[in-house]
Amino acid sequence: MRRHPTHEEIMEIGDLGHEIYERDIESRLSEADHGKLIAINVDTGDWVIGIDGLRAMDADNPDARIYNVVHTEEPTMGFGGASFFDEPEDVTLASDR
Amino acid sequence: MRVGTVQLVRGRLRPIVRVLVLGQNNASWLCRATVDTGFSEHLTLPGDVINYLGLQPAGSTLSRLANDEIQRFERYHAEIFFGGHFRNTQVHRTETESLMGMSLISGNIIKIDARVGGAVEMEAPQNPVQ
Repeated sequence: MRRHPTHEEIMEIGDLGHEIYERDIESRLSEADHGKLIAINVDTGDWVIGIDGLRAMDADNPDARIYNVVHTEEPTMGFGGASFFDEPEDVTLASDR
Repeated sequence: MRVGTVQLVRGRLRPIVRVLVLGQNNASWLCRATVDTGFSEHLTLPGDVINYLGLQPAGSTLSRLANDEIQRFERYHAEIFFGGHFRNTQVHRTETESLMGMSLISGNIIKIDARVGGAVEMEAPQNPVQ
């Protein structure tokens, strides 16, 4: 069974991954990559786009230290104070209109 | 304990934390999540990631968004490793970068050094709220 990283390792992987993403990756992505998943091997600097790429990276080296980012061209949505609630009977969803 | 870092994302200052989401068949997803105090639930993940991890459905909930629209969000069971602890939690599906909501940090003290590179720290309170 794969060993999960410790908290300290997670922080280190996050710091390295963020550095690589900012330095080597972000400027090479386009508007078409908005919303896509980026997987970064923080030890080699290799990176792939999408879940299939992550699966291949993982299959090549199951022990690789991988950091993941969702590429966003625009600032991420926030819920802005919205609360989640159970479903009442008389509600109209935006998707139903 | 440091759980993240304040970062500039597309020119906006964000408190970013690191969280490991565990899935089936040894799959895992180590990602960044923005602390969103306006989000009442736990964590959001994109659908592709939820499918990759094989998370089990847990129904759905509704939310009234800032534009007053009500949307349904699918919910899933998940185990995460955050702040040095494993915990069972729930994940909502959204096709955006991940958000961490108040339910995941509930009961803790969160400190944000709101400068680029500043620490996001979480600690258990030593004293009850006055």
